[in-house]
Amino acid sequence: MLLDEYGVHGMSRQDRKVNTGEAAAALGSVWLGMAGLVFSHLWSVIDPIRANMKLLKIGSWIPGWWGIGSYAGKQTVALALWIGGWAVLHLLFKQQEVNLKRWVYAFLIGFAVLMLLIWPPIYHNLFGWNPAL
Amino acid sequence: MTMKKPIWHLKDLAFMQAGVTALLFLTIPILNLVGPGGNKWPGVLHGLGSTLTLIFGLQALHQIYPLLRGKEGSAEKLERTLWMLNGLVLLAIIFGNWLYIAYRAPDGLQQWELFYNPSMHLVAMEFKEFVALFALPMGVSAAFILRRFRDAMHLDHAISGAVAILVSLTWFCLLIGFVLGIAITKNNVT
Repeated sequence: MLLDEYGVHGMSRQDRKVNTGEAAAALGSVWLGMAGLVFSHLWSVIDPIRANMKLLKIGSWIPGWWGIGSYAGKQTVALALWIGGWAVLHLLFKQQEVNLKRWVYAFLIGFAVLMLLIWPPIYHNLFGWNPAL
Repeated sequence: MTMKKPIWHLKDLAFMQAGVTALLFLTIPILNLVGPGGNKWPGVLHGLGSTLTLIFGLQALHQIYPLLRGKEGSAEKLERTLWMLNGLVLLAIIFGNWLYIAYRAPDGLQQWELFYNPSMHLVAMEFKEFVALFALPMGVSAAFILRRFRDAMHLDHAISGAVAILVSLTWFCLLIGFVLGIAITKNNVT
């Protein structure tokens, strides 16, 4: 009963304030991770020789990287930006109240932009139709 | 006049319907075990994982409506579904990476596609292999926001709005991965 109503710090559940900055940080870091995936892929389309060597090395911690290829590196870049970005943004924004509505709309626009950039007919038209292997 | 009682409990009927639907739906990937071709297990497991993510993703999609209406306990229920979904998405990604080795291997499906039907790799695969991954961070963030703000949902409507958008986009990405994934397997008939 006592534990239900009072947390370990002696505050009731309603008093323990969580700032909307935490939700904003979660949204922002998701966008960073997705952007990491999209831009590392575009890099490997634009400059495959250099990018794929680098991405293969970055992805070599994943079992089977030798068969997965540069895709392993792209996933690693995305994972690092998502988790690393989340840690940084969380520390930056957790004390702040933000206009979350604005963050949600910005996230939606950012998502739409990434979907256009990763849609193959668009980037292949811009950078050539060599397959990303 | 009193209402006649139905001959079944409604809960039993709903459970049967859902169970039979799920079972038949899951046979889509499982039937590949008796299909042609080698390297069946990574494909069957990836298919099973992604089919299950679709079932849980749809459940999560339904559960955002009580959340948006502010129903009591809806945040906890959606969060539970989302953690299960996130676990399944992670499994599907791991099996997908395993399957990708065979896909890229010499004489594999990628080479076949580039020779006979290049847009299947150049458009379908190069799109879905990235978009399907988006489901993981979005699902995890939605579950995290629900966990942190479950008692503060009523303070700012943008919180449940953010969760609703994240769950909807997760579902959208899962569906793209599923539909294009099935399209790519249809190519494996020479």
